[in-house]
Amino acid sequence: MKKKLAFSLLFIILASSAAGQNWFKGTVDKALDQAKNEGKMVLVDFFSPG
Amino acid sequence: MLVQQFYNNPKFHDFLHSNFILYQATRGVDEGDKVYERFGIRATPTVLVLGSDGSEIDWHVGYGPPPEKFLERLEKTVKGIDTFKLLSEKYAQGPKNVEVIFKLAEKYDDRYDEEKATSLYNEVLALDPDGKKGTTDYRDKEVTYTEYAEFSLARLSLYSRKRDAEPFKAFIRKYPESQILEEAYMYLGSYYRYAGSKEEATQFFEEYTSKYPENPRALNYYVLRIIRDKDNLDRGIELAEKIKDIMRYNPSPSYMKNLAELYTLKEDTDKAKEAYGKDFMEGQVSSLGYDLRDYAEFWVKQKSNLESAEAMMELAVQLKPDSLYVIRSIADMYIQLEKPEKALKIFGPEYIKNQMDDSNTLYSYARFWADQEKNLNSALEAAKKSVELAPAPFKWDALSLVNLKLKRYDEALEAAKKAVETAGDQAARYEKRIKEIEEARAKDKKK
Repeated sequence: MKKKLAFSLLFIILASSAAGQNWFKGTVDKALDQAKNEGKMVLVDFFSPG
Repeated sequence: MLVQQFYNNPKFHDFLHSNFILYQATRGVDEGDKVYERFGIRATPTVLVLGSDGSEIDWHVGYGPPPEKFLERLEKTVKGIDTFKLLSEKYAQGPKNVEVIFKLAEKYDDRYDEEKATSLYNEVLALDPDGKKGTTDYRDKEVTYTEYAEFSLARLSLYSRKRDAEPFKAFIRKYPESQILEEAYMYLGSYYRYAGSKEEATQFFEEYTSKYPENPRALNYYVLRIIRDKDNLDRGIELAEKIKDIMRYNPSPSYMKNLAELYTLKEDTDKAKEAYGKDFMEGQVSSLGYDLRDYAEFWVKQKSNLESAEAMMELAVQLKPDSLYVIRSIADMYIQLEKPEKALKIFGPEYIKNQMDDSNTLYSYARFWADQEKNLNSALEAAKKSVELAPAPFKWDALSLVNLKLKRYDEALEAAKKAVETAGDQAARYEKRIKEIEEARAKDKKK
């Protein structure tokens, strides 16, 4: 029962992080280039899994 | 949490996409680590906003719900309010502006740039030694820039390589009426629980706990020091028992663990088990089961956050499989979510076959499914058994209702009359069932 419970909790956490945002794919310098073209700023989110 | 509550929330997507290119630097991934190093990031979550020329506009370190508060912080950045960039420009133009210097110090402090933060806080003290040039808000408390700069310098000193507690001691002596005095003691408490000589720590903790005798954290820091020193155990037990008493309605497992540790050091295993044994942990698990049920019920009623609500419903069922209250209420939530098959899975024939000697559970089951007009054959069997084991007017009434839903009008009437017969002065409550059955039968005959 404990293993099943731990797995359920892990699934909930992972499932919740999997959805949602489209992050820029490439280097931060390329992101800056795109920001210049579009007249925007770059928001860098520093993320650490776990 | 920031990712789940903010970035992944469609509510904030328009704001994000219209103002930013979103870039995520992930620790442990090659490109991500390079970005961490390039910008000298020391903590997560950190959000850094860059101009398209690569200059640093602003940053925000840390996150706490609600996400709307985080949006407010980013909106200020977009509007250029108190950003790092603006403060730096103002500082260059007016290097004696205490408010600007203080806010710039805070910016560097947030980013763990101790050297720059220390230098700027010291400038605040030099320019405003008497604390007359303005105040800041610290957790809803108004504190002068000067006082808060001294507090921050003491904190930076405490967490520096030198681990120097003297500045905080000086702060406590200088500001005995400070609004943030308790916070200062708390920082010193976190220091002395593991550092300083035993005599110095004991002297500090006796002062701290006499000043804040009902603060569990203060008492617990002292307990941790006693456990570390393995000395003065009776005093430790006295403090730990006091924490237990203060938190009796919601005991913290970590505090109870400390109490058990003290009793173990005193070689009193029975007392250790009493504090932190099987009964304690089973109580924690049981409470969690009820909390999960309450959480799910709240969100199902709101018709929102349903994915999370369902996940917690599943966990609650796993934790409290023997609780009729939890199982029945979660079955009801599944009905509200239009998932009757899930309700049947946890509170259906498989469930009730293990409860056939419990009259009240059988009644509750029968009544639930009669109200849902589903699973009626199983409900009928349960209702009959319930009455057989321990007859009572409300159980006869449940049997009557199930029969009514099955259009077994003779049987329904018979049971309804038994309910009335056995109800004594409550008979009027059950009489309307008889009328209901007769009306239903008449209506059926007309068809």
